[in-house]
Amino acid sequence: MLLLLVAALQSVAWDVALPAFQGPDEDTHFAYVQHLAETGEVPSATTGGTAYSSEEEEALVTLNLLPLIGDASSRPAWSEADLKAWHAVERTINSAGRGNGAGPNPIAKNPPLYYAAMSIPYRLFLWLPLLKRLFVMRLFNALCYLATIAMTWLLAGELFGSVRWKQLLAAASVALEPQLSFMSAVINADNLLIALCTAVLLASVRLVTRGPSMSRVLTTSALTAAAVLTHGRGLVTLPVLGVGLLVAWLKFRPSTADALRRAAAAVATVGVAFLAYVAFGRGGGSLYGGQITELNSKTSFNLRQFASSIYEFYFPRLLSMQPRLGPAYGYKQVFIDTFYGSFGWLEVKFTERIYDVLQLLSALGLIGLYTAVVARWRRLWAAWPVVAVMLTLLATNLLFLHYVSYRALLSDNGADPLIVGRYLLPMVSLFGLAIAFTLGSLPKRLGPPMAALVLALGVLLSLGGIGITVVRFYA
Amino acid sequence: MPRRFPSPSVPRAAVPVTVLAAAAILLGALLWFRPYVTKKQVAVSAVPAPNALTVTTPYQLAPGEQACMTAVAVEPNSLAAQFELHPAKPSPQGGPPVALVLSAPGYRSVSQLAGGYPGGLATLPMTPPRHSLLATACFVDRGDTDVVLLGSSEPRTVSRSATSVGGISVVGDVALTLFDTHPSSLLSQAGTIFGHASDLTDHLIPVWLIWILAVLVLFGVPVGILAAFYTALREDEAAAAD
Repeated sequence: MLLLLVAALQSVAWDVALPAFQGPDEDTHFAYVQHLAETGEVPSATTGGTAYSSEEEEALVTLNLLPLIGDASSRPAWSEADLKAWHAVERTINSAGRGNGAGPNPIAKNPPLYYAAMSIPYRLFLWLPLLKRLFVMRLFNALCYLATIAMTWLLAGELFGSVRWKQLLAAASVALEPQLSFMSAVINADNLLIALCTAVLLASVRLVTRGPSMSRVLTTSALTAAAVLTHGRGLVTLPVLGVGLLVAWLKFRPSTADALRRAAAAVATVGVAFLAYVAFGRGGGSLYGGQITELNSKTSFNLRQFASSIYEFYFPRLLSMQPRLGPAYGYKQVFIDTFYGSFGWLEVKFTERIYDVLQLLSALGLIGLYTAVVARWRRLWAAWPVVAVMLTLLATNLLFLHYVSYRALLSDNGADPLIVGRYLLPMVSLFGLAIAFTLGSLPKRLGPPMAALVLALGVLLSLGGIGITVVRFYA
Repeated sequence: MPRRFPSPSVPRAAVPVTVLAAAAILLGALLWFRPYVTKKQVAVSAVPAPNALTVTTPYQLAPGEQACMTAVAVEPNSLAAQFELHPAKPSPQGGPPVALVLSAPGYRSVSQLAGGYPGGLATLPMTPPRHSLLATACFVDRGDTDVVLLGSSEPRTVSRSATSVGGISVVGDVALTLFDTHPSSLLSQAGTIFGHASDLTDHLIPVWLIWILAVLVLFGVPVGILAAFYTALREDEAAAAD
C-alpha cells in the first residue's frame, strides 16, 4: 500500500513536470482518444483533413507546444499573458472543434481498446478546459502503472513465497523505474499494454502453479485478448498464453476432454476478441493499420542478416560479418539510455556519466543473475513451469522487437531502428523479479544491504528524472 | 502471549539496512542534486521562437527595413534578448547596426546592436515590462548594408508568432530567446519555475499546491520507500522468529 502511495505521488509529480503533449506521441494518442470519445469513430491512419482537432491544434500552436516537442532549446508559452491568450482562443472553439481530428493519424494503426478506456475519463471531464482535462486523463492513465506495480508484487509473492523484502524489492524496482513512472503521466497506449502484459504473466504463472481451472484459463486468455486489442506489440502475449496452457497441461495432466474444453475456451476468447476487432475496431483499415503487411512485404527477409543484426546489436561485429543495417544503435541505446530514462520526446536525458554507471551496474547485475542461476539451478529446474512461462515472455518480446526493428531498417534503408527502451516495459516485471532473485540469492547478511543500495539508486534516479524534466520545460 | 519482537537469535537487520538505504539516498542527493540546484546560471525568461532543428531559414533585411513578429511573450524578468544574425555580404566593416524594438500598449523597449560584428549570436539588453504581456518584436536594419537574421520555417519549430519582413508576411520566425541575466540558482528560481508549471496546468494545480507536492515528492518518495522496506524486513524477522 505504501509503495502504491509512493508510486501515485511520483505519477502526479510527472503529470505536473510534463507539459501537455510532451510525452512520446502523446499528441496523436490524445487525438485518437478525443476523436473516438467525441464521435464514436476510430480516426483514419491514412485519410481525413487533420490528425488534430481544432482544439488540440490551437493549443499546440498558441502555447508553443508544437515547437517544444523534442527541441531542448525551446520552452512552452508559460506566462500569464500566454495563458490569457490561450483562454481567448479557447473560448472560440465549439464542440465541432473537438471532434474534427479525423486523421490521418499514424497512431490510428493501433487497435481501440486503450482509447476506448480513456474515452471514459475524457467524457466524464469534458466540462473541463483542455489543459485541465488532459491533466485529469493522465491521472486515470496512472492506474495502469499502479496495477503493474501491484501485479509485480503478486508475481514476486508467487515466486518468492512470503519473503517480504524480496517481494518489496521486485515491486519497488518496478515502481522506481524512471521510464515507467514517466510514461504513467503520458497519454499513450503503452501504459495499458504494460499492465496487460504483466497481468498475462501473472495469470500464466498462476495457471502453471495452481492448475488450469476453467476460470484461470478464461482469465489468462481474456487478458491476452485485451493485450492483442491494445497494441500490435500485444501479440507477444499469445505465445505466453500458449506456453502457459501447454505447461499446465503437461504438469497437471487433465483428462483429454477437459484439456480440449479449456483450450477451446482460450482460443474462443482470443478469437472472439480478434473478430470483434476485425469487425468494429479497425477504422476501415487492415489489421494494425497494415503494419504487419507493410513490415513483411517491402524487402525480402534474410535470416543470416537478421541473426547478424541481433548479434551486432549486443556485441562488437565479428570480422566475418557484414556491417549492421542502420545507425550505430544497440544494447546501450535501448537497454540503458532509453530504458532507464530518456524523457519528453527523448530529448530529456541524464548525463552520459549516469548512463555509463547504469550500464556498468546492469552488467554486474547480469553477471550476478547468471551466477545466481548457476548456483540455484536445481531450484530453478524444479520450478521449470514458471521459468518456461517467464522465458517465453522474455524471448518473444525480444525476438519480436528485433524482428520489427530489422524489418523497419530494411524498409527505410536503415534510417530508423524504431525500437526504444520503453518497448521493453511490457516485461518490466521480469526486471524487478530478476533483481529480487539475484539479490535474494546472495548470503542472507548481504542480500538486504544490497537491496537497500538498489532501492536508494532507484529513488535517486526517479527523483532525478522528475527534476531534470521540470528544469527542461519550466526553467 | 504472542511474541512481538524477534528473538535475539534472529539477526535484526531492519534498522541498520534501512539506515544504509537512507544514508545512500542522502549521500547521492548531496553529491548529485545539491550542485545541480545551487549552481548559479542565467535563466531563460521566454522562448518566443526557437532555433531551427535542422535547416536554418535566413530573413534578409535591406537598409531601413524591418522584420516584425507578433505575440512575443515578454516577462518582468526579460532583461536580454538573444538572436543570430550576420552581414548579408562578408565585409571588413562587419554587419550593420540592428535595433530591436519591443512594443505593446503601455510598453516599449528599444535597444541597438552596434555595427561591425562578424556575425553569430547577439545578446542585447532590453527594458522589461512591469507585468507579463504579449508584444510585437521588430528587428530594424539601421545601417546601409543588408543584414540576415536567422530563424526557422520548419513546420516543427514554427511558433505562433506571425512574422513579416518589410511589411510582407513570411513563413517562419526569427529565432529569439529572452533571458534573465541575473545569475541565479534553480533553487532560488523555484517559485518562478512552479509558476510556469502551474500556468501549463491552466492553474488546475496552483503554485502553492506544487510547493506542497514538491516537498511531498522530495521527502515522501524516499521516506515511503524506506518505510516500506523497513516494514518488509521486520515482517521477515518476525516470521523467522516464529
